[in-house]
Amino acid sequence: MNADSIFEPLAWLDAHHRKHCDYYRYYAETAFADNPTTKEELPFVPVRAFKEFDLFSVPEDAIVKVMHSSGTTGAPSKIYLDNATAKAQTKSLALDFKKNIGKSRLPMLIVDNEKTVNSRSGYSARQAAINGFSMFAKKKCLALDEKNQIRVEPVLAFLEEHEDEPILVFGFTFLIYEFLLNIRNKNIASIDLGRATILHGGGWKKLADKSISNTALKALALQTVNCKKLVNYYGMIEQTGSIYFECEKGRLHAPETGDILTRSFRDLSVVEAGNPGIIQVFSTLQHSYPGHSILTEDIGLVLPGGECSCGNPRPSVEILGRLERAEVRGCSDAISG
Amino acid sequence: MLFLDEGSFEQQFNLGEFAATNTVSRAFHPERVAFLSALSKKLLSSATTRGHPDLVTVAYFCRKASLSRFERQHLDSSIKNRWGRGVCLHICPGNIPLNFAFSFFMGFLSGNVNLVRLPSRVFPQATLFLEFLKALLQEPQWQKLASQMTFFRSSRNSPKLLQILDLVDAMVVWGGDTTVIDFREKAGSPGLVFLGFPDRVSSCVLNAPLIANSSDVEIRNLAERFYNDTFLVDQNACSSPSLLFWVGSQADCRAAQEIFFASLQGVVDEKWAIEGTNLIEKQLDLFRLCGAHNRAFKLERATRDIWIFDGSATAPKSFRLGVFTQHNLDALEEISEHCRPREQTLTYYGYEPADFAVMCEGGPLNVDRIVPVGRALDMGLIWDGRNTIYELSRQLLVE
Repeated sequence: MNADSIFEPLAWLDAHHRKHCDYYRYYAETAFADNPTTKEELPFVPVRAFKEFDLFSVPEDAIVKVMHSSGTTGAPSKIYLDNATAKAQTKSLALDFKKNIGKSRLPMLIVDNEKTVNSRSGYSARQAAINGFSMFAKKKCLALDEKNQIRVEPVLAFLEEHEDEPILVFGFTFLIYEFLLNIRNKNIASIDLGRATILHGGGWKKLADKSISNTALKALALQTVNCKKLVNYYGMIEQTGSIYFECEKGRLHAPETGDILTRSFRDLSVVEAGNPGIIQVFSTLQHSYPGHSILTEDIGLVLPGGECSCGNPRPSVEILGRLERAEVRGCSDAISG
Repeated sequence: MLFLDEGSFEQQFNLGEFAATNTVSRAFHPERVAFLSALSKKLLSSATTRGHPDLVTVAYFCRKASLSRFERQHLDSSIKNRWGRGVCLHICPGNIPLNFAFSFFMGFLSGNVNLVRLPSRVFPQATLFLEFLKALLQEPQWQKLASQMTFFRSSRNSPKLLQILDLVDAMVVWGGDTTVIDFREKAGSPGLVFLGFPDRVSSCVLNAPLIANSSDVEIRNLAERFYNDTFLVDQNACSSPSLLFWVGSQADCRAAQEIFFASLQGVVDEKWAIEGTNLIEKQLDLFRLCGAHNRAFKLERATRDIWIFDGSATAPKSFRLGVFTQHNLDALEEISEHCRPREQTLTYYGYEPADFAVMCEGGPLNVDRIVPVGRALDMGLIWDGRNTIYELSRQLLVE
């Protein structure tokens, strides 16, 4: 599949959002050319814009759900969904889940706590991810208590109940890591996840701060719970439904509905594939808000479609880190302190 | 106690004792001038100082010659009967390493006892400055000055700091609108003299025919000085120009812009390191500008890093990171029509101070400071239109 075959729907979305979202139109007309002819020329919205502005391209009464990112720094992102966009996201996620994880409707061990799952204070990234992936669950069990410590009894009971079938373990990367450490430190030898797939993503920054690599995490999983299948994913609440699953070669592949490129650290021009840059993600699912082309603050290395030896024809990315917030030089934005 | 960290400030500092053991001095007292020139000598004689251009600037600022010049030019004979107000508290911004030193000079030369809140971040040049100061204060002839200054760190909401706000006699607050308003509201004493430095904007006027006919070397020299006023600090300082006035015929303006921006981009290519998310912030600023005005703008990317809007665009705060607006004017006098409400510094190239004096005969120009390109960031005892020596001292009237 040619990566640019999604250009047409993206160009359609660009025109749609220019027509129906004033902020997007003003920005696009100011900063970009009028008639983009390639995905590289499409306007991109810095991800932070979703924190500072209410961006939607459908009548307000059509909005059925507003998702909020966890917002570790500053205000949370606000993502406005109408029915059609929410459905399209779910459908796309289901398709890619089947392709990458296999059979759906698995018993699912959620490595998170009650508070996250049932929080009513908005809709956090963790909650959104859990809810999204929960549709693939046959039965669910929460693995952590309020203090993010393992709930030993319920987990053991859950594993026993499903001892003959494959299971899905899902959680944010740093929670999976702490979960595994927790098992090791408490010396709970009876937890065997040899038949499980551990699906994890997001929150990796906390691990990068501790210098824990994906390889180290895999080694820890094998050593502690005998699990050989860890699948990382890359995704963001601003493009829910377009998820980049890790292949057996350790690369994160764009879904059918998405595409990815990197831009230069010096001037945001497009860098050639294979070179590190600032990640820009595309998705054809974002109809109710202008999230079809987003400039992230993540750093990565993109390989064009067809170049990964795993055989997946979609372009792929390796996440290298995140841009640092720059120090403010000069006095105009000074916060005393 | 010369220096207190967060913990010892909270636990040990006692303003009553600090104020009681101290007496104010006459403003611009020869002894204080001599002390600062001794500090200047000490700083300039050290090789480590030279590694920090901003510390060198501080050292030059307090040379005997420059302080005497200030006294001759900007202080009248009333200075003999001007005295410090008492304890002067300085709230300094967290991200400019040596702003606190200038603020201290203002309070010190006005004759006050000074309490200086340092940036929470530890900057090597700030540490050096304090070490030189400490060493000098240990010399016998300066020892008694040591009790008249305290440099401290504290959290923003330090209970001790809040308590002190009610008791000091003067306060100097830097760091923009939010900080100034915050501290003005918290300040308690009705007789307090409050000197706040809020957000400002700045501009630059360029003589277009002169630039169009200058040699490459002259243009490069101008570009380097302009770079120091702007890109060096990501154009974030209040005195960094964000508005350019080009004076000349349309043809001259266009020619001058082309030559100047190309040369400036050359300097930027060599020197500017745009860091982390700043590149994205520059892009996001376009979003913010459109959002604030509810419309699109015509943006001209003059070069890779120099982005120009026409004069109708005004940022919610100021432009930064290489974004400017500009006006082409037929005559220098037209500047006054385009000055913005919070205009602070006007830098110039191709004019003489006398040109502005003539201009102001028709009425004041709405700026506080007119200096040559390259000197926008130089601090002075006259700032934001205020002679800080007068503001921070009291005049004793004897008739």
